[in-house]
This record gives sequence, structure tokens and C-alpha cells, in this order.
Amino acid sequence: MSFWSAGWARLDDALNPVMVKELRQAVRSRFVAGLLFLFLFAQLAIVALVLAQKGQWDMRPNLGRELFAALHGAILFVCMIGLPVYTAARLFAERGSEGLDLLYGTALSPRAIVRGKVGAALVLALLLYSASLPFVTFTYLLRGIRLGDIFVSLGVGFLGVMTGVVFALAAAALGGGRLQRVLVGLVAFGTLLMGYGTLQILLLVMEDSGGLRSEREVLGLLLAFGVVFLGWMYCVAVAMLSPPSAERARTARTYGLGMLLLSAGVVVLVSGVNQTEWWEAWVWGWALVAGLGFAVATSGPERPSARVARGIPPSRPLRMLAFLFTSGAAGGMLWAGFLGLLALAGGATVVFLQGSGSSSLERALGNATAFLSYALAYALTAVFLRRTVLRRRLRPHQTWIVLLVLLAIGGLVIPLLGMVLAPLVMGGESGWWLITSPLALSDHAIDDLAPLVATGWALVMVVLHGRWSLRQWRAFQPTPGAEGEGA
Amino acid sequence: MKLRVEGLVRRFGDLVAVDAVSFTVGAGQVCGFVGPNGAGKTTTMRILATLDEPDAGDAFLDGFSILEQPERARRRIGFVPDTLPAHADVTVAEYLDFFARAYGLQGEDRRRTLAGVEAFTGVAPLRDKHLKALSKGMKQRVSVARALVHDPAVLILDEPAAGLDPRARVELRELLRALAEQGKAVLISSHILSELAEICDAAVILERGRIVGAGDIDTLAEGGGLLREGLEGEEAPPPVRKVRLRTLDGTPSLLAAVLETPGVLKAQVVGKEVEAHLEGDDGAVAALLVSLVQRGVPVVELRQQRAGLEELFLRVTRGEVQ
Repeated sequence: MSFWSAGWARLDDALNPVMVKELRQAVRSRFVAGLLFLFLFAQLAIVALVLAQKGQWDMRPNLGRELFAALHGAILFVCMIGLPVYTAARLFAERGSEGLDLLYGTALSPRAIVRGKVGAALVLALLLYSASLPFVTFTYLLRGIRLGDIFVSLGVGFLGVMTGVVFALAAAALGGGRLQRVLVGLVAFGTLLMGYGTLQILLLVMEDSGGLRSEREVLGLLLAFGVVFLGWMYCVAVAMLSPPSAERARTARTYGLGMLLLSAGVVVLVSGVNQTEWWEAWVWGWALVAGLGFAVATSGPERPSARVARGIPPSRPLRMLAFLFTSGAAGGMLWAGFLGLLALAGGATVVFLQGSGSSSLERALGNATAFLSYALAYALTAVFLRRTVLRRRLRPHQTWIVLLVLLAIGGLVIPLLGMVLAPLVMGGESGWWLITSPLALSDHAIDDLAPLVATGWALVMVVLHGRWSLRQWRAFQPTPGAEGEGA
Repeated sequence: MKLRVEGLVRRFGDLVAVDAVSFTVGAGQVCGFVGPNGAGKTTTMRILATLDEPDAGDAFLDGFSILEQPERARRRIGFVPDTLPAHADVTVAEYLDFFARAYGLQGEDRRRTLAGVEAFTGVAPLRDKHLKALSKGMKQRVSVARALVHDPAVLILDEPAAGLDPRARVELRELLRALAEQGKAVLISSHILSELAEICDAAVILERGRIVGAGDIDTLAEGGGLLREGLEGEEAPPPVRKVRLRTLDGTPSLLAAVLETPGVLKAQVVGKEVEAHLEGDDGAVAALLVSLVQRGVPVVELRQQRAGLEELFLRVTRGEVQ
């Protein structure tokens, strides 16, 4: 065997099996072939249209930039919408009963499956990007755009594409019944469209305001957000492809905590403690994540599975730490609460270090505290209703349905009804009808009352769930005879 | 034991689909898994294949728990589900290659294993065909080939004979026999009980999620291993023997004599013989023969017929679904 064939054989063996399969399917797929042809045709059409519309195009100073913006829009649309939808659709099909053999008929780990899917999408994205290179190069030959801006735009766009792919995979991995799949699919598609629109607008605004190189801070923030989100979605996709009895939460929760600390370090490096806007964004960002954490924890298991129990450490301090990071409803609530407290503590430290003159950050801290109280109150109310009124109808992992209904009632129906009926009944605009929603924090009439109501509601719910949490803590025991595998 | 199932329970809401199911299958044994529709066969098999998880109990594949070490257990099992592979844009060769790669087979080893499995299951001529273009029988072969790629110790087949033509069924039977001879434990569910009876050494009979009979075929045929009484306190059916008799002077006198014998449930003429169903065990058969001889009936042949799996199945189940 020659050196090259031996090297090729080694490379062939090292490739992820899922990636190989996905690429083989993509090569044979009419959808992918059609997408590629359509993509090339669209780019040709864009070039022809832009040049035809401009007339004396050699006299236009920004023609290259305009053409690049149009072409990049098309590239992003195909790669940030088409590619994630295609990748997610494959996973969706394989999660159905007829495709189970591909997904669960092997000893491949969920991590390897997600890596294979992402790898295949990466190769397809590179293929689509390389197909657009001649057109993009042409825009540089026209005037109005720097080579650096082209590369930065393509790079940021590519990160957006990969984030979209991993997000779509995470959404497809959620599984569930038909209704849940349709709902998740619609929400995910809407989010992809929003992500595409936001990224496209940001890039256009930055290009128009003097080139991307002058917007380093915003670009840095965009990239950091993209990388953090991509990593988190990867954790979610892996967790959701794991069997229900597996430890699903640990990686995502550890990643979340790590990113909170890392992002705090980055903000310190970028802005020190004096630029309040960065810290406001940081506090609010992590308060939102903690709020989402409360929502996800509602549907966690209330007892560790036999498999999870094997990994529970026997020593009490380690067990307490493990409780926070291991799949479980009460542990998840505690973790989200811990994350929220860390975010608030970080913000409070900055306020303390700044001394006077940080009223906007103080206000942000107050509102974030109230928001977290609302999130906790809603999450625990959903658990309470599922455990009492709906005990016979719903199982713990279906609590998210109750939470969605509660959010729809408290966050949408009551405020809307209040908006219509309050002026008729009360004759004024008191804003009290917003009290069940965090939107109340933005209404001057009740923005003092809302935090009190939210905190009171959350406290009542916490008291009601004391025994529930304690029961879960007591059930969080290692399997007799099994060695703990650490937290 | 290659496959050990211990007290599996699976609930869907209030419905108990699998209720404390326990059994074992040894190396080289082919075990039939039979029961009416909705008895819990597929649910049990999906749990064994680590596609679903039990609410209680556990199962061990070659010693590895499906709950605590599902990844390792999965390496020991080849599962042929009741749904056949029909994925888009995949050829048979690519499909099998994916599984070989996924089980960590590399380079020449992978190519050799795939060639061996393709030859053994007879799918070599189909390698370049698309999965979607295959007939049901061909897909079934591919599915079996896929389950064998990693040389599992336990093979679980859910309704593998459904929809196959007679030739494909015979071929499948021969394939399973050959696999059992290689020392694999085979658990197979099917509605075609005559097919199962020819290849199974043992059977587990399931009804409404519970085992109503289990054991080797001969023991079951003799009434051993039947657990009908386990269902809601119903009494176990008494053992029944089926015998064929032939006399020197033909059937008319014989039929009358047999029908007059105590313990005979029914009797009928079948060709030149009389077939009789007796309530009781071997003692009842001996009593019948003694009675006939004492009456001067010139019996020249008495053959006891073992109950087939089909008959056994009908005897212990009621066709009740949940």
C-alpha cells in the first residue's frame, strides 16, 4: 500500500460515520442538488440585476459594496435558513419510528451523532460558500468594499450559519409528540428567520457606517454571543438525543456556569467597571438565561434514574454539588437560582465599585431581580398545578405544557383583556392589568408594586415546594455498592 | 445466559403494557416471543434494544444492564425492528457501511466483515440498489444483515416473517438456524406460529403484558410452564392429550369405543384413523389403551401427538388486548 493510499485509508477510518452517511445522502439528494443550482442561478441573477439597474456602473463608488451586500444576503439566506432546515429535517426523520435504526441502532454516542451532523453541514456550507467565491471576488474588483470587510462579513456570516445549524439540530432533537414537533418547528423556523434578519441588518448597518473594522466592539460582542450560543445549543442537542435515563443536564449546566464566569471576565477586560451599558447587558443576559433555566427545570425528573444514581457521589458535600448539576427538577431550579444570584451579585459588585452615579445599573439590577422572581413564580406555579390539579393527566416531563399555558394567560391574555377592559371599567390607565407579566416593570404606574407582587408570589411558591424539593434531595442517593463517578 | 430479563414493567399512563416480565434465553437457543396484538411484545423488544426504557426491572445482554450500561449492552445486541429500512438516498452498501463504521470496524476488517455478512444474508447482489427500491423480503434481509454487522451475541427480531413470501420465509428460517448454531441467542416474535414452531427451542407467551407461559417447546406442549392461573385468578386449563389410533378392522367400531371411554373430550375420523382429545396426562392415554384392549378393539397403532405452538398459543391465550 502506497503512502498516499495508506494515509487516505487512515483518514477514511477517522471520519465520523454520521458525517460520511450524511454527505453520501446529500450527494444523492435532489434537494441539495436543486439548492446548489438555485443558489448559483440566484447569484447570477443578482449580479445581472444590480449591474443592469445601476447603468453607468463604472462611475458608482459603492457598487462593489452594494453588490456584495446583495450576494451575501443570498448566501446567508440559503446557508442560514435552507441548510439548518435540511439538517434538522434529516434528524427529525431519524427521530421518527422508521428512522430509529440510523440514530439508535448503533453504539454511537449522542455527541458523535451531533458532531457528525454538524460536520456534514459544515462541509455543505463550505461547498455553498466556495460556489459563491467567484461572484464575491467580482465585487472586490468593483469599487466600494475592502478585502478585509469581505472576509470579516463572510466569517461572521459563517458563524451565523453554523449557529443556525446547531440551533436547528437542538430543536429537532427535542422530539416529542406531533403537536410538540410542529410547535417547536414553527418557533425554530421563526427564530432562524429572525436571526438571519438581525445578522443581515447588523452587517449592513456596520458596513454603511464606515466599514466593519471600525465596529470592533460590536463585532466582538456578536462573535462572543454566537460562540456561546452555538456551544450551548450543542450541549442541548446532545442532551436531548441522550436517553431519558442518561445524565442530560450536567454538561449544559456546567457550560452555562462556565460561560457566566468567562463572560464576566471578558466584560471586565473590555470595559472595566466603568462602562455601565456592558454590565447592564451582562446582567440582563444572564437573568434571561436563568429565567429560561427555571422554565426548563419544571419538566425535569423528580427521581434520579438508576443510571444517574450510579454517578452520584457518596460524600455529602460532593452530593450537594452534584444535586445542582444533575438532571432533576429541584436541582434545576436551584441551579437557575444560583445562576441568577451570581448575575445579580456581579452587577451589585460593579455598582459597589463604581460608587455613586450608577443609577441605571441599579435600576437594571432591581428589574432583573423582579424578572427572576416572576420566572421562578411562574415555573413553580406550573409545577404546583401539575402536581395537584393535573396529577392524573400529566407526567413531570410534561410540565412545560402547563407553564406555556400559564405564560399565555398571565403574559398575554390578562394584559390584552386589561388593555381593552380597564379603561371601560376603571376609567383610567392604572396599568394594574400588567401585574401578572414582567411587562409591569416598564409601566410607571405599577413599577414599584410589580417587584413586590413578583417576590411575594415567588416566596409563596418556594414555601409550597419546600417538601417537594426536600423529597428530591432525599431521593438523590447513590446506588448501593456503586462507586460515585464524581459531580 | 446471553439474555436475562428481570421483572420488566412499562406503563403508558394507566396502561401497563409490560407487567413484570422475566425470562432468559441461552446461547444457541431460539426463543419464540408470542402473544396477541397489543400483548406487549414490541414494547418489550424495544426496551431490550435500548430504544425505550422500563419503569421498573432490568434486562441483561451478555451480562450488561440495559439501564446502567446501555451503550455496552447495545454492542451485544442485533435488533431487527418491525419497520424495515427505507431511508432516502442510501444504497444497501452505504447503509451497511454506515453501521460497520458506527460499530468501529476499520479498514480491511470492515470490508471483510461486510463482504462476509452480505454473502451470509444473500444481499451481495443488492449492494448498489437504493433501499427505497427494495422489496419487503429484500429489505428484511438487509435489516438482518445490518443487525449482524457487529457480530452480536443476542439477536432480537420483531415480526421478521411478516409480509414475506414462502421462499423468503424458508430462507429466513434457515438463516436463523445458522445463527443459533453459531451460538447466538435469538428472540423472535411472529404471528406465524407454524413458522416459529419449526425453528424455536423455547417460547415465551405473553398476554396483556404478562407472561402466561414460558419454557421449552416440549415442556410447554405437555402443559408445563403454563402460568394461565397468573391472570386474575383464573384457573389453569387441565392438560389435554391428542392421540391418533388405528385398528385392524377400520374406524366405525373404534370411534364408538373411543367416545364411550371416560375422559375423552372429543373424537373424529381422520382418514383411516381416529383422532381423540383426552383430558389428562400420560395416565389418561394409558387408560384409554387399556379400556380399548379390554373391550376387544384390535388396536394396531396409538400415536400421541404433541401440541404445536399454535395450539398451545390458542389454549393459553384468550386473544385479549389491552
